[in-house]
Amino acid sequence: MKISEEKNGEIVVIGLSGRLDATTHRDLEARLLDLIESGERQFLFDLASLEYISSAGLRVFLMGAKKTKGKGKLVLCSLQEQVLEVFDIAGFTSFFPIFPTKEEGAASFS
Amino acid sequence: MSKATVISLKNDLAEIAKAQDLLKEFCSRRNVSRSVVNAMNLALEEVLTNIVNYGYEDEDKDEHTITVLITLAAAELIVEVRDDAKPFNPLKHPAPDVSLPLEEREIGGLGIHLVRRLMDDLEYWRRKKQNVLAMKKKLV
Repeated sequence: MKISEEKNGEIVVIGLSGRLDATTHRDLEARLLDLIESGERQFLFDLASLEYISSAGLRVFLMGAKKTKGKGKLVLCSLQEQVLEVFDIAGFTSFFPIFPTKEEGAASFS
Repeated sequence: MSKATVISLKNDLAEIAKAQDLLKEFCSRRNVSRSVVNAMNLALEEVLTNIVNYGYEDEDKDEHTITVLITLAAAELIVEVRDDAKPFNPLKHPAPDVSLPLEEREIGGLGIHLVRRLMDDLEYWRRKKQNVLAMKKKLV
């Protein structure tokens, strides 16, 4: 899995591509924790190129949502259908603002 | 074309992709629909991950074998996972309450929950010191 990162004002935009699963989630987990610990609070995850997610991946997002709750915002955008379905089955769609495009996702911060 | 295929894996997370690749290849040759394959593919990863992560004692440095048997029956895709890990029946594992708010949601239990929701039928039995889990998905 590839992780891309850029800063858009106060928002950290993280792009994921490939698979977020039992063997690849640790890098994201470590990076997200680092960012949160260094004071970042606003995250936009661009999942347009994320093909697959399993519970290991969901757990990273859950951790991120818990750590930013009340102090910041974690937004997801451009989820592929099969990825959205997994978030749905897990009951996670109520935990994250989810938008179909990056523009809408970014706009939700203002 | 055969109706079944089998693969043996070591108890290692890196091996899971081999089983998933075999599943995808087996299914694509037999025109199994993408939604059925995707569901079974994810369920398979969750089951194998749990076996590798939780099935053996930390001190157990031996290599163990996990067997994945894939069968295409008339109306369903069946994947049977057999392992010699600690006795564990995932069907008896308590389901997470997915209606809980964020603060109360626990990190664990998600894998089994996904398997239950993705599969049409699940059977577990213990035979000859092995856990056997059969996952079934109706063909569409």
